[in-house]
Amino acid sequence: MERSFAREIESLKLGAGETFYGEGILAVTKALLQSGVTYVGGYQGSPVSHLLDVMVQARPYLDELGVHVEACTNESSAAAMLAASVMYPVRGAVTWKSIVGTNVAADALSNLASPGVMGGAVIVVGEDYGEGASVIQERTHAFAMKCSVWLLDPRPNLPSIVSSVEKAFELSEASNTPVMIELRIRTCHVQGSFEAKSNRAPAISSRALQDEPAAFAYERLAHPPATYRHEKLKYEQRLPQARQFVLDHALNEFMGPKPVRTRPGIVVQGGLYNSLIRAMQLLGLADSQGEPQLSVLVLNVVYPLVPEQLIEFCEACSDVLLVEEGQPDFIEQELATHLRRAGVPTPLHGKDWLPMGGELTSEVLASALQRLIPDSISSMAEVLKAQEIAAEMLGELIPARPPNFCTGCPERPVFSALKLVEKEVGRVHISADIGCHSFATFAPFSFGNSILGYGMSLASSAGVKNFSARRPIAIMGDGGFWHNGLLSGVTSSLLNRGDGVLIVMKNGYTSATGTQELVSSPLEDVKVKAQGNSATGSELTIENTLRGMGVGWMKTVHNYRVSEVQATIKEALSTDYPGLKVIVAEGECQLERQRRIKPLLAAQRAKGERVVRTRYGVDDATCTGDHSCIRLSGCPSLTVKPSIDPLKTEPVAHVNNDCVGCGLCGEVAHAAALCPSFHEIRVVSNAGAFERFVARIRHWILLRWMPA
Amino acid sequence: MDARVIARPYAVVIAALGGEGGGVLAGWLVEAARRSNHWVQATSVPGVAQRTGATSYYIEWARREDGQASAPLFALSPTVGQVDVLISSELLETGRLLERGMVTPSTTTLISSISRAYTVVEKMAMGDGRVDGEKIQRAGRALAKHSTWLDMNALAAEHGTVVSAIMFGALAGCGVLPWSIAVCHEVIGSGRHAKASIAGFNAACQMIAASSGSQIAGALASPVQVSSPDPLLNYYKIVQLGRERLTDYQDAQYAELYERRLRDLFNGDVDSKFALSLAPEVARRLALWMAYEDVARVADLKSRASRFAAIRREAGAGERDLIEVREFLKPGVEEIASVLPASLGRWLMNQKDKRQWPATGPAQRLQSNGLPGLLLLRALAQARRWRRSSLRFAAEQAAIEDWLVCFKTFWSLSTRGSSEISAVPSGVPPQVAPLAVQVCQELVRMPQLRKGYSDTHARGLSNYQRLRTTLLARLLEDPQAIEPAALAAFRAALDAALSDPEGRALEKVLGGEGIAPLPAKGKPIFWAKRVSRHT
Repeated sequence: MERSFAREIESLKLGAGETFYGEGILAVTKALLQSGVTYVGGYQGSPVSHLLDVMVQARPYLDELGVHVEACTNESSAAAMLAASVMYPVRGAVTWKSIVGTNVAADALSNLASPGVMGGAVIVVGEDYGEGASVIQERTHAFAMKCSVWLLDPRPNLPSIVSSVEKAFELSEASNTPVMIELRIRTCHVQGSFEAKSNRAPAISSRALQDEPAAFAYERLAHPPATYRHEKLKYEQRLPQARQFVLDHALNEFMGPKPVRTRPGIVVQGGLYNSLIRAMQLLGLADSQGEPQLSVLVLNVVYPLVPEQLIEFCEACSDVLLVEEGQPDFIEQELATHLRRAGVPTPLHGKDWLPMGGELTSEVLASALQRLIPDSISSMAEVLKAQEIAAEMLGELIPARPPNFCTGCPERPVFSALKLVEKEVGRVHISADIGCHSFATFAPFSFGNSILGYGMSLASSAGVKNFSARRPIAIMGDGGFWHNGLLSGVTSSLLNRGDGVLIVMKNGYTSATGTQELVSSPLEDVKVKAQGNSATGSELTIENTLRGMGVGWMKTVHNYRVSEVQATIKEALSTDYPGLKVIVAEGECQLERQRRIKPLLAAQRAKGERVVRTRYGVDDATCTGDHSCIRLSGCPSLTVKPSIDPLKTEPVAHVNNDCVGCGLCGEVAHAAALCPSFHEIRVVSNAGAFERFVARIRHWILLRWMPA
Repeated sequence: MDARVIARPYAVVIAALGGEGGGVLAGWLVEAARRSNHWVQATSVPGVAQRTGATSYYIEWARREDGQASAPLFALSPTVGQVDVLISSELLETGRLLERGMVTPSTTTLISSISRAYTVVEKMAMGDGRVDGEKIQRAGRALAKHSTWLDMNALAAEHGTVVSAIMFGALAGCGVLPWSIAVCHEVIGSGRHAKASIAGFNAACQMIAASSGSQIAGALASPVQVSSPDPLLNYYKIVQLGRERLTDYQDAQYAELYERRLRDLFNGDVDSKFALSLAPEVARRLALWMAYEDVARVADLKSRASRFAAIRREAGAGERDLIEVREFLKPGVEEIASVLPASLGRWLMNQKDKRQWPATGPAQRLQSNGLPGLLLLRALAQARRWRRSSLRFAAEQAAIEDWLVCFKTFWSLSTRGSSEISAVPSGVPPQVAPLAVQVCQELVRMPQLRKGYSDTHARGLSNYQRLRTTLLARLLEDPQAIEPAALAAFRAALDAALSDPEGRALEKVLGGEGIAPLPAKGKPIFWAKRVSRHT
């Protein structure tokens, strides 16, 4: 794993009265332990990766408590794990990135929600919405509504988050319903503190085994005719129970003064509370501590709504502004229905004043508030002026800086090779996938005709290949392969005797999310032996699996041999072989390799052993500044600098000191017959006396031949 | 200011690139705030930006008053116009936040690095795609309450640390942190890298504090002046450099030819203000073109003692370290043929066609500071002796002469030896002269197309020919009747060819001018056999 959580694990052990300092998502982890969970699972993805990562690393401690941790292979298996709480009074929690994770989990989620749960079942979803998001912009809210699963959206501070998690288990048990908690990106990463409670060892656990399985109970299966009864239970029993719990435990909060008929009030999703208050401060509607001067109803539970609570609040206000993020406006629609049925005449504002999509930042909210309270102060004039001056002085827009393959990433060479193949055979339809390799959709590669989800690339080319003169290529990471790609892509292609080409990036980990382990990750002893070299070469789980399934054309290539990768792709595109062609592009994630090799080299150097460091360089004098090398690589360490030649005004290519010596520059220079400016430099430290002597003689001879 | 304006917590935005330790800096600030009796909150949107993308951190703090039981409300994202400090480790990222309105004159102290990490789109441009950093600095100065500029990367490198330590020191040096330097040192701690971090912290802190006040360190940010302010001096400097370059490239006689060409062009009249607007650029381009990179030149440049010394320096090799330098060479048949004496070269090219040799030979990894490698390079460098009789030389000289003739044609329309543009040659319609100057300005850019090696060079060359035989040929048909539209088309086509190395953009512009596209090049038929599904 990319990051070590040794310090964070210690804060998971804090006892009652001690103060926990840390990230929002790790506060959730601690809250789970305080709630006495029996099991935890999930699938990594920003912004909730750390929840599970820290638990995986904390396994020895969790074993002491009897808590089981499962690093699930996808969200579907994580959701299915919650089945343990259907028939047993055990608490469990799972986590994933939403909306995509919830989509993958949808089947299990429905089947879980239908019979309902006995023990508390909590799903922590990272609502990947707005700035910094990496997925399609949709709301998890829709899933909560259609499955009848409750959805919490707590105020974004650690004490509120922790108490929400604890209450979520109680709510789940009180209403026999799984509960989701949505946490936005910045909330997951917020640094704060809360007063800890002691962790609770679960009553039924890996340390306190249960002797007998649960008795057979057909009515707890998601199977007809039980499902008909489940549907009825959802609205006849569980919903009223949940609403009662929300009221009894005051999960929604009233802030500011008591509502009065002469003043407007605001209803807000808990997660947006801080942005709302900051906006109110800007307009002089809240004090410096954050106490609002208007009545605010904070919905920490956004589904279900409690009609009587809302009606009472709205009735007491002159106008109501509903602050709801994203679309469709589910809360507004429901609230409007409740008000209409109850005959409440209070005007309701929401999406008529707020944007339908996008994050509701303080500046967006401020403009809506200004319509609500027209005599509030305006502070935006200076900002608009500043933006205007900036636009005028900067001229063109600042170019974007999307994420890129890391320096030395083994996936970059595959795309360099693909670019060279396209030069020979023409453009090819490329189905892209989710993972680091999706960075190839950015410059300089700009590859990919579709992205249809994690592990879906091969499946998404199934329709295309039938009407394409050239075979389409699907690209998939090993993370996507095990998440979904093997089944929805490979098996389907084999069943239908598909003719496409699949490139599997075998880098050994789910790298984009923080190099979590896969079933095909290289084993520890292999990594130790490999030292700084790729450790994925000898790991054959993917190849063996594919062979076992009947893939007849499969080649493994090492990514850095660009010419070889190029030739293999070309062969896959042109061979007479009729079925699926799989190229396993092998090269271990550079982050993992660097993590191993850096201490290793430092130790060798300290011990005075011979150490060879490799890096690349570009000759200033021969570089013509056309940058074709950069168009085939995009490596962060291959950059430009002003030429030292006063006759050349254009910047020349330059390899900076971040170079890890991966060798791509040289390979590309060769494969593309690019330019003679590249050279490899090997710096040998601590060479022996004899080696140095020979080198000195050689240098002496060479100097006779070298002009100055 | 409106009396109702509410005090809010102090707001700090950190703009950084993934992997620069922005998270570490945020952690230090949070820890220091806690230790010095402040309420504090920090958050970020790292996501996949950890992989070298742009990223930002946001921190708010407020002094913990006596008897205050709970923290004030903190926001999770910066609000435009409400940022007290913006610190950025990269100049373009500073520009991005300026664009968003994060820096406002009444509120924001701006601390920015002047170092650049170029974005891919800037780097991959055919020529110079870099954003003008000066512009960003000017905007920053205009918009910030105080602004401080320093080269954070250079400082970090100097002290063997990462940018986060420099940023922390810069914040302390600017006096925006409500706690002592001792507290900063304390939170940096005593870990493995702490010593270097503290050294970097102190250096940045002192550099800023020493330059007293707010607008400091700005002097550091002025760009390197390459050209002389006096254009005539500049011109002679370039001619001097050109002469040296060509003597080194070939011999004194060749340098002589260079000067003669320039003399012919400007009729010894370069010192007019008008001629000087173009002459330095013409001299520069001509020198570079005449010193075109062939195998002999590359081999010569790669086997010099000064080069190995420079490589040693750049790689940071210690005195006792040994270096091995390996070259990646893959000379094509055509490149070899082009430096052989013309007859031999032609024979080789015929053989290539007859025997269908591949375009490039086997890839060579040559140790240039080894004996066999160096001797081979020196041997190749000797081809310079018969360069004058080589195929490539003849072709390049013909192209140069043609370019000079074109240039001269339009140049003579715009001026006639006299000093100012108003002196239009007799018989030339007055509206033509300014247009002719503009044609010259475009013509000067044309040799840029011919750069690069192998495929890149071939594509550039064909774009050059294409432009020469189409829109430039049209302009030459009747130079005395330049149409503004024809000039604009020529300029657009040149822009297109320079920005898109594949030549597709060029063809699009040409198509718009009613010029038929080139016949599609023969490409091997690519056959993927269909599988019958009905067997």
